[in-house]
Amino acid sequence: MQCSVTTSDDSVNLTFSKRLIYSDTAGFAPLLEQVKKHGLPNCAVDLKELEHIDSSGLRMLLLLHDVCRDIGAQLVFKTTQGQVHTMLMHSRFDTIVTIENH
Amino acid sequence: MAGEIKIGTVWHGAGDGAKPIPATVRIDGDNLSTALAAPTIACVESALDVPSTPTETGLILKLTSSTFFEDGDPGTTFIESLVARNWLAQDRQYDAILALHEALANAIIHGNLAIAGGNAETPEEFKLQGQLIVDRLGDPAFGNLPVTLTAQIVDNGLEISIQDCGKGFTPRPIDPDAPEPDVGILAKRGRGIGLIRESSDGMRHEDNGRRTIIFYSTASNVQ
Repeated sequence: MQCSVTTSDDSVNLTFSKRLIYSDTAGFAPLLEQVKKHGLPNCAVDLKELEHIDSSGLRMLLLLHDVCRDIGAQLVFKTTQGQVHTMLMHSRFDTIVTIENH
Repeated sequence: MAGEIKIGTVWHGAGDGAKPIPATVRIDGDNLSTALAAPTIACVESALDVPSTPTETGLILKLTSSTFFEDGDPGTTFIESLVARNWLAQDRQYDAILALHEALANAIIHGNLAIAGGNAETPEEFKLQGQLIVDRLGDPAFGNLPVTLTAQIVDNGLEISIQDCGKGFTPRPIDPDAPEPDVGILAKRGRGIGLIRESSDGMRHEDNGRRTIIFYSTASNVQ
């Protein structure tokens, strides 16, 4: 997993690249804590450079969804066509999270 | 440990004629791709036992659990090597990577590291599970247990097996004609087996659940 975190006045922005898979379990927990700590009203997750995701990665995004729900943040996933977008749509994430596909 | 130089042995040839190349082959990061290129038939991390009977119609990759968790994603490299050999069709590459990742997660986390799967439903539990994974990967009794990937050409396609050293489990029966149960959108677990089934042409368990075999039919392969 490669992820950069930036913030603006009202948003925490996570940009992922490479893979989000089972071996990233330990590394993802601090990201959840950062989002919770910032407590901003928006969380934008850029997945356009993410090449691959598995069910462990989906679980991580669901936990991020839970954190955003708990702090009242609006969560948005930004995707492009590919394996990651297909997995999100197949898992019906579009029914619980706004997905912007470009 | 991340960044550590990993050394392994690669075998060329087959059967009694198989001979190990001197153990100076780096198998970390991008070097693993070179180590797995033809005519290699087996690539084994140093200090692990060499699997028996490698054949010219198969490819074996045997690494410790801790190595599988390091940067470089050996599972993806393994699948890419099968595509490079024309054993797996290019258009099935991402399916096979997904199926293998799902099987590897089960083999390493639940098998070799002996971590139960049902206790990471909240961010707090997830953090604890992540720390437990780190702790066990650092414990040689768990982290040094191997996972063996074997790709074998069979009559009607390609089989990819994932073998762990855990205690095993009793797999639930798989009806190839029945749809996978819907786990629900918000489910934090229970998607893996369904994803393996959907991204392959078949799967089965052997050795009391310690070995998962994923199948891709000839119709979807380039021979």
